[in-house]
Amino acid sequence: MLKPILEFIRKDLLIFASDRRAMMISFAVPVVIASFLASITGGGESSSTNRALHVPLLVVNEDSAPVTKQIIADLGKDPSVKVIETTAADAAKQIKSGKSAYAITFPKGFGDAASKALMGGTRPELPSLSDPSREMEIGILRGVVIQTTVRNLSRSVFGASPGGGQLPFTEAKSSPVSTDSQKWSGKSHAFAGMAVQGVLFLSIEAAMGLMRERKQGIWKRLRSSPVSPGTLLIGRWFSSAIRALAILTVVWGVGMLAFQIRVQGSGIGFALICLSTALMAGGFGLFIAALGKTEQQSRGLATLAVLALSMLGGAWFPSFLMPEWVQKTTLIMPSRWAIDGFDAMTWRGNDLAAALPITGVLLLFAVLFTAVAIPRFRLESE
Amino acid sequence: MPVVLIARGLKKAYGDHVAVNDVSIEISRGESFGLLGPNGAGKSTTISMIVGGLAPDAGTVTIDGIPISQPSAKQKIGYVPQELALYDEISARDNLRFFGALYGVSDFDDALRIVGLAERQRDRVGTSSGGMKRRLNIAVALLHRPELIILDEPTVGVDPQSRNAIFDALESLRSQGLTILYTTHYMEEVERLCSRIAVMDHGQIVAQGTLNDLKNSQGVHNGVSIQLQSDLPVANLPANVTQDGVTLRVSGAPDPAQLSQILTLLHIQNREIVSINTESTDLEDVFLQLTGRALRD
Ligand SMILES: Nc1ncnc2c1ncn2[C@@H]1O[C@H](COP(=O)(O)OP(=O)(O)OP(=O)(O)O)[C@@H](O)[C@H]1O
Ligand SMILES: [Mg+2]
Repeated sequence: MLKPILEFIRKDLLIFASDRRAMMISFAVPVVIASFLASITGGGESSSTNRALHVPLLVVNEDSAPVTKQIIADLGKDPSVKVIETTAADAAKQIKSGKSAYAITFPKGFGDAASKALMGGTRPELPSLSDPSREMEIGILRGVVIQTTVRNLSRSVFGASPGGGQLPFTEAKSSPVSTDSQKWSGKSHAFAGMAVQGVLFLSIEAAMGLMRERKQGIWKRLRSSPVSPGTLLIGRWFSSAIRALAILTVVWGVGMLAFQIRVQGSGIGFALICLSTALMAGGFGLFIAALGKTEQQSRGLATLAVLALSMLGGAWFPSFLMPEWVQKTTLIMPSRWAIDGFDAMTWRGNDLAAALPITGVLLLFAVLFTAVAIPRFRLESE
Repeated sequence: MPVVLIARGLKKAYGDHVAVNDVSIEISRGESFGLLGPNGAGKSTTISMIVGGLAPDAGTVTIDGIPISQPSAKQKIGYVPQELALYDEISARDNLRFFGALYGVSDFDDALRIVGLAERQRDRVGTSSGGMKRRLNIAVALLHRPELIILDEPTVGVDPQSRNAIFDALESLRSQGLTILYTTHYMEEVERLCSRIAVMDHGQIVAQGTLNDLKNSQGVHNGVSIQLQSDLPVANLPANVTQDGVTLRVSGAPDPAQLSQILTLLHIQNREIVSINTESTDLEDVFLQLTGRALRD
């Protein structure tokens, strides 16, 4: 049973390597995009590679509380942001004219109300104005604003940063990062997102290979052999998972070497997320191959699906910046879990206990995908 | 001779279309069995069910008494699909290594030699000629030295040289006692290789037996035809000679004594002869009679 599986893997790796260019693309695309995103997002922990972005952030301050002043001063220190204090009318004008993407208003009494809200009072609004066509900038600016605001509010109330909790205002709807070890890292996130997108795209290639095999009569030949359908399926599954693992290794390798990304949480947890993501991707490939009819048609549909999974799963910009209903809905997506898992083990610095449930969910996806594919692989219905 | 393969009552429908309908085949050890039929007759569908690659709607298949679903039955057969079921991206050798591993085989020099590919084994399959791929397609099925080799149109689209190489290999395997199930729509191939034949059409076996059985069962005989200049009736013809316009047909094996008698008769009656031909029935005629259509489209 083991020998056929090993030979399956060997054969698939040889095929993978036979088309050097395709293989390079599989590795290079996620690395290049992640590197690009990482170099423009910045916001990382390591100042040596952290390029100051100075994305303009319009700030309208109608509040006189010291904490609000402190928030704005802190925002000014963030290298990814260039604070421009202005009036509400001017902010609207600048956004309309495309000069800026995002403006934030601290309304009168915000600092006091938000501080009280930390203790359980009603949460004040934190109004913002934005140009919806500039999602990338908005993503960055919102992240920075939320982080800085919460940090300063907590400090002024508790004298330190408490863990988690509800936002003391009603702008951002998710649990934001708030302790110092959980420092939002755009670089880390870019690599997490692109690594996951990369393995999902690889799944499409694996599925296309399987469909070609079916068309060429190879499935019939395999089924006429004494190797059980289950073993054949595991062979296929593992061989695509191993290719996915290779991509994860390369993408994260580049991230760690060139961008100083660190696994700040559990190393074992990180490895588990890698493994379960790879198995999930392997299962996803089987799933596409099992459902697909013709190669061309499936490639198109699968590409759309992967783009949707990547985007909604938070590969392009982080999920915690998305509306709450999106955040809830995307929990049905394996991509979301994989990306969250990588985020948790890298910049969030979570421990192994946090990795285990995510690993479990990813493995569940892997098994579900594979299970759906089984009947198609066991008996040719054509 | 013990029976190796028993297929009983095989049936497969695709929607409303019945591709294979109640097909039964038995093949004894050492026999070469030909399954002959035109495109779409249901040959490949039958073969796929026999090798365990396709679940039949009804019917059973056993190899040496073991149901084909069992690995031990599958180990006994070698299957050559109609398609080139190979990995183009890797070498012939790597293909053999992979498929061999499925049968627990790691020595494939014999298989390479039998089909004459020993020298080209490191070439990528995708860059090989069609004939080479066909041969490799067969070699993969020979790797584990099966008792029964099942070939589904193994010579489709190959050059005459490769076709000969394939046939030499099959004939030598047959002489070593390998049982062969051979599917084709080429008559010559069946006549050359097979001792027993089943003719298939519209999903059913319409006749089965040795080549002679088939010819005799259809009442088609060898004979001689004589083309005359005019269609005036010839008088005093023997009973086994019929006239159809300008054609005289002498049925039965050509008999020199009787032929000279007929020629004398024509000479006496002053008839001019345009041509004389011997006619021998081949499977093509048998097939035409059985199915009302030609084997090849
Ligand atoms: N997957 C399928 N779905 C629907 N119909 C099919 C399928 N496979 C075969 N058929 C139909 O079943 C019939 C028998 O096909 P089959 O391939 O067994 O014929 P064949 O004798 O092998 O023909 P050929 O000489 O062209 O290979 C054909 O009418 C074919 O169209
Ligand atoms: Mg066929």
